[in-house]
Amino acid sequence: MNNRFDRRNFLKKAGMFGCAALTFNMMPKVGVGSAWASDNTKLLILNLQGGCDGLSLFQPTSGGVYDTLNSLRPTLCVDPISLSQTADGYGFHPSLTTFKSLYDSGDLLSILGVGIENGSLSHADAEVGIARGVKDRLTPTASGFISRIGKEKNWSGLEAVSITGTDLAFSGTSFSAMQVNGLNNLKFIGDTTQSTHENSYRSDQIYELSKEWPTSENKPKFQELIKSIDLASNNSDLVQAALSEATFSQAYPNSSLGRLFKDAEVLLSATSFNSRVVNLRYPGYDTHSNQANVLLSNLNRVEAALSVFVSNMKTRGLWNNLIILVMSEFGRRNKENGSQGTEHGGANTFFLAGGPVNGGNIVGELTSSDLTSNSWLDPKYNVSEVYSQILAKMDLDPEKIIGETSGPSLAGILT
Amino acid sequence: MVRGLRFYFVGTLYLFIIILIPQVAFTKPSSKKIPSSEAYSITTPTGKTITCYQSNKGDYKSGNLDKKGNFFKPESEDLKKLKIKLTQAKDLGNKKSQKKLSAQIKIKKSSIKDNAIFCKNGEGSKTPIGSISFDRLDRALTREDVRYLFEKAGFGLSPSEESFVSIGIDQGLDALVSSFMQTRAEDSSVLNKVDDYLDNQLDSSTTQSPAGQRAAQFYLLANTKNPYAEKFAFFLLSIWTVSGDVISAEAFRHELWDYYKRLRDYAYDQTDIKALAIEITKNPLMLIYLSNDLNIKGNPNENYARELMELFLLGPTDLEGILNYSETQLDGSGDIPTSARMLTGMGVTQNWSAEKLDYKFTDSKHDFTMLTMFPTKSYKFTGNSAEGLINGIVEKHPSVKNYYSKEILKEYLTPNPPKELVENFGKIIATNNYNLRPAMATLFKSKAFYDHAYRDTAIKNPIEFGVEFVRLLGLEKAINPNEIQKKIATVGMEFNASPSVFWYPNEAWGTPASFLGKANLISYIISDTTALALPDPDWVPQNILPVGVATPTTVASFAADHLGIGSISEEVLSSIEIYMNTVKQWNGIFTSKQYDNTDLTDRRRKGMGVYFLLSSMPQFHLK
Repeated sequence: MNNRFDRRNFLKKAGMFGCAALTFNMMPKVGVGSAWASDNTKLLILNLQGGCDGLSLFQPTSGGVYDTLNSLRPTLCVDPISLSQTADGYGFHPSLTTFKSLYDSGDLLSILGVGIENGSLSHADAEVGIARGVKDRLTPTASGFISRIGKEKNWSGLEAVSITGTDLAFSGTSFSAMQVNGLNNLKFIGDTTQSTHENSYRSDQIYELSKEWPTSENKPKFQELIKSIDLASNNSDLVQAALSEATFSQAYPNSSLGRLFKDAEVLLSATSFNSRVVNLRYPGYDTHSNQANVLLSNLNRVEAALSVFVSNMKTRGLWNNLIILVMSEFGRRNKENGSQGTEHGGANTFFLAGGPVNGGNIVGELTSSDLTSNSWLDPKYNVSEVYSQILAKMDLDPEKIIGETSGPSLAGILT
Repeated sequence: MVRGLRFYFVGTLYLFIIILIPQVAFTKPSSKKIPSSEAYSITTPTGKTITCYQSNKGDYKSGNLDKKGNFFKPESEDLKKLKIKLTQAKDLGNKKSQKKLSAQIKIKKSSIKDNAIFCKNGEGSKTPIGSISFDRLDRALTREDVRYLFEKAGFGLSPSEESFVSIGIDQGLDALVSSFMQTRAEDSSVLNKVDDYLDNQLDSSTTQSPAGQRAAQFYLLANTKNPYAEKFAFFLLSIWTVSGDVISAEAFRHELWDYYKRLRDYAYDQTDIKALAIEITKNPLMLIYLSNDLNIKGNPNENYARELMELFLLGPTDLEGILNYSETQLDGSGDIPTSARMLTGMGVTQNWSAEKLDYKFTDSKHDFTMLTMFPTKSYKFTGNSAEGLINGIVEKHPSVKNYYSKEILKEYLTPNPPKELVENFGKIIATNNYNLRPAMATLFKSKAFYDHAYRDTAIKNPIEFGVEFVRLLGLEKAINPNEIQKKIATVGMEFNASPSVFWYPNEAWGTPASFLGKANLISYIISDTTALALPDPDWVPQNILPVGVATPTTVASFAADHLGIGSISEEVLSSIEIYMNTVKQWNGIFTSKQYDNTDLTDRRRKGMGVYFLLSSMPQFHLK
C-alpha cells in the first residue's frame, strides 16, 4: 500500500469528518417532513422566462379597465366568465386553478405593475435587471442578488441552487452557487465497462488532481473550474442520496416541468443539507403570436406540476415557511398585434405564494389610463422592493444585499 | 577684487538656493505609467466594455489603453483635460463653451464613479488584457502556436493534421493560415455516413430526426478536413440561432439541416454579412421561428425585426452602452416598428410534393411605404424592403462592425475582449467590406491572436470538447455518434434546438453539472472505443497508448501529448502514477498493483483512465 496516498486520503477524510461534525452542530435540527425554524424561511423562484403576459395570467374582469383592455386586445382579452374570478375585479387564467385556490385561502397575492427604473424591452437586458435585484437597471452592479446573498452569508454549496442551468442571479461574486440542469445530471456515471470502485477511484482522482493544477499562471478560468469541481465533489453524492431517498405523497407529472418541481421539493425538504433558495426558469413565454394557445399549453403544464408541489409541501408541513415568487423579466404590450400575440412590454404582475404571504390581496391598481397612456405598463412598484421584503422575511439583511430600493413600500405583503 | 568675486559667487549660490531648489523640490514627479498587462477588461451587464485597473492601495480605476495598447490611462486624465479646457474657456469668457464643458465634466465624474464600481464588482469576470494589435505577428511560429490556432479556430490539432506544424514552422504564418483556411474535399465515405446518421438509415433518404441531425453533426465535425469552415459555421449558428423544434411536420424536419448547410456554405465562402442577412431573413425556418411569416401590413409583428437588430446585426447597445436603436413609442414610431414594417409580406408555403417549405412574398401583405430608420441620427436611411433595411443597417450603422468584431473575438479569442481590441478588429471588418473570411485571416496572423494573455480564457462547449477529444485520439471512425449526442444533450447542448434565440452562454460550460457531464462524455467515448462498438470498417486503430513495456509516467506523458495539453507538472505525474499503480477493491481498500502496459485489462482500466483524468484538466477544458 502506498503510504503517501493513504496519509493524504486519511487527512482528507479526517478533515471532512471534522468539518461535517462542526457543520452538523451548527445546523438547525430538522427531519424529513418537520417544520423549519422561523428564521429558516425558504424561497422558490419560478421565472416564467420570455416576458410572460401578466395581464393574461391575472386579468381585469369588470369596469372601465376591462373595457379598455378588451378594446386593445379583441382576441386575447378573455370573457370574464371563463376566468377564475376573485371578488376584487380580477380573474386568474383558467389554467391556474392552484393560483386561485391559494388566493382564496389567503396564501397568494398579486402585485400589479412591478418593474425597474430604466427598464429594457430586450430579453437579455431585462433579465440582467431583475437578476441583479437593484432598483435601477443601469446601477453599476455586476453581480446577481442571490450570489450576493451567498457571499454575505458565507454560503458554500447547496444553499442556493439553480435547477435550470446558469442564471444571472447566481453569478458575479466569490460565492459560486450550484447551477445544474436537473439534479439527476449532477452525478458522475463513469465508464460503464469498469467496476464501481474503479469509477469512484477515478472521480476522486479528478478532485485530487485539481489541487495540483497550476495556480501561478493567474488564469481566472482555472479558479472557476476548480470551484466547480469542488462544488461537484462536495455535493453530488449528497444530492443523489437525497434524490434516491425522497418519497412524494403525490406523484409529479411526467414532464420536464414536473421533474424540475420534483427537484425543487427534494432540495427544499432535504435534511442532509439546507437549500434556502431554489431557482426554476421555465422559458416559452415570448408570445409574439398565437398567445392564447401558447399560454394555455404552458400554463397547463405549470398548473399540473405546481399543484403537486404545493400539495406535497403542505403534506410535509413545510408550507408555512415557504415563499414562492412567480415573475418574468418584463410584461407584454397593452395592445395585441396582428398575429394574436403581443410584443415586449414593461411592468408586469408578480405573484407571491406561501404560508408567510399575506394573501387574498391585490397590491396595486390597474386603470384604463395605465393601458392607454403608454404602449406598455409603467412600473408602479420596483422589483428591488419585492426582493427586499422577501429577504427581510428570510432573516437576510436586505440593505446589504439589495441596497436602496425605490417606489412605494411593500411592507405587509408578508406576515 | 577677490572680495568682489567672493560676493559674486555667494550671490549666485544664494540665487540658486532660493530660486532653483524650490522648483526642483516642488515639481510634481511624473506619474508612473501603468503597463496594460496589469489592467483587465470587463463587460458590464448593459453591454459596455470597460478597461480596469486595481492599484496597490486597492482602489479601482476605469480607463482606456493608449493607441498602441501598451499602457493604461485612467479615465481621470480625461477629466483633468476637460477641467483645463473649462479654465481656458473661463479665461476667454466663452460662456457657451463653459456650459458645454461643465456638462461634460459632470457626466465624466459620474462615469468615473460608476465605472469604478463596475471595475470592483466585475472582478469575478475579468479578462486579462493582452495585445490589441492586429499587426502581423513578427516572430517565428512554434508548435504550440499551431496547436493553439487549431484549438481556437478548429477542433484541435489531430495526428492527421501534424503536417501543419511543419508548414507553420518552415514556411511561415501566411502559408499556415492559407493552408488552414483552404477548402478540401471531404471523403465521400464521410459524407455518406453523415447522410446515414441524419435519418438513421443506411444508403437511403427518409425523414430526418432531430437526434439524427445531432449525430450527423458530431460525425461531420469529428471527421472534417475543413475545421476552419465547420467551426465558423458553428459560430454563425450561435449568432443566427434557430431551432428545429418549431417544425412539427416530419416531412419538413430537414429544413433545420438545410439551414445549417447554408450557414456552412457561407463559412466556406467569403461570408458576406449582408448577403447572409438577406438570405436568412427570407429563410422559411427563420421566418417561422421568429414569427416574421405573420408580419403583415397594417398589423406588424416586431419579433424578427427586434432580433435582427439586437442579435443578428447590431446588439442592443454600442461599446459605450448607448442604445443602438429606439423602441416602439405610443404613436407607433421607433426603429423597431419601422423595421418591422419593412419586413412585412414575407411568408412561407408548404410544398408537400417536394417536401419543403418555400419562401413566398405577397405584395398585398407588404407595406411599401418609404420609411426612415434612425431618423435622428447621422446614419439614417430610407427604405421599404428587407434588402433596403439590411443594406442600410450594414452600410450605415456604425455598430455593425463592432458587433461582429466583439462576437468573433468572444468566440475566437477571449470572452471579454477589451474595447480597443474590438474597435481595432471592427475596422478590419469594415475595411473588408463586411466579408468575414479575409478579416478572419487577418485575425489568425495577428499579434493579438497569439498573445498568451488570451489563452485559456474561455471554456469549450460540450460539442467542441467531445469532437476535439475524438479527433486528438484518432477515434473519428470508431465512435457511435448516436449515443454521443445523447451524452452531449445531457450536458445541456443541442445545436438544432437551442433553448432560446440567445444561444448558449459560455459560462454555462463551467458549472459543476457541466463539468460532470463532460467527464461522463469522455467516460463514454473511451469505454465505447475500448469496446470497439460499431467501428467504421475503414477505421484502423491508432496507438492511443504506447506499445510494449512502458512506465506509468511514460503512458501519462504519451496521453498528455495526444491531448495536446503539453507537459504536465511533476505533481500531476506523481498523482497519476499512484493512480495507475493502485487498485481500489470491492471493500474500499486500496492495494498496490504495478501497471503493466502489455496487459489488456490494465490498458483498458488504467491506460484509458489516464485519458479520463487528463481530459479533466483545465488545459483541456479551456481554449
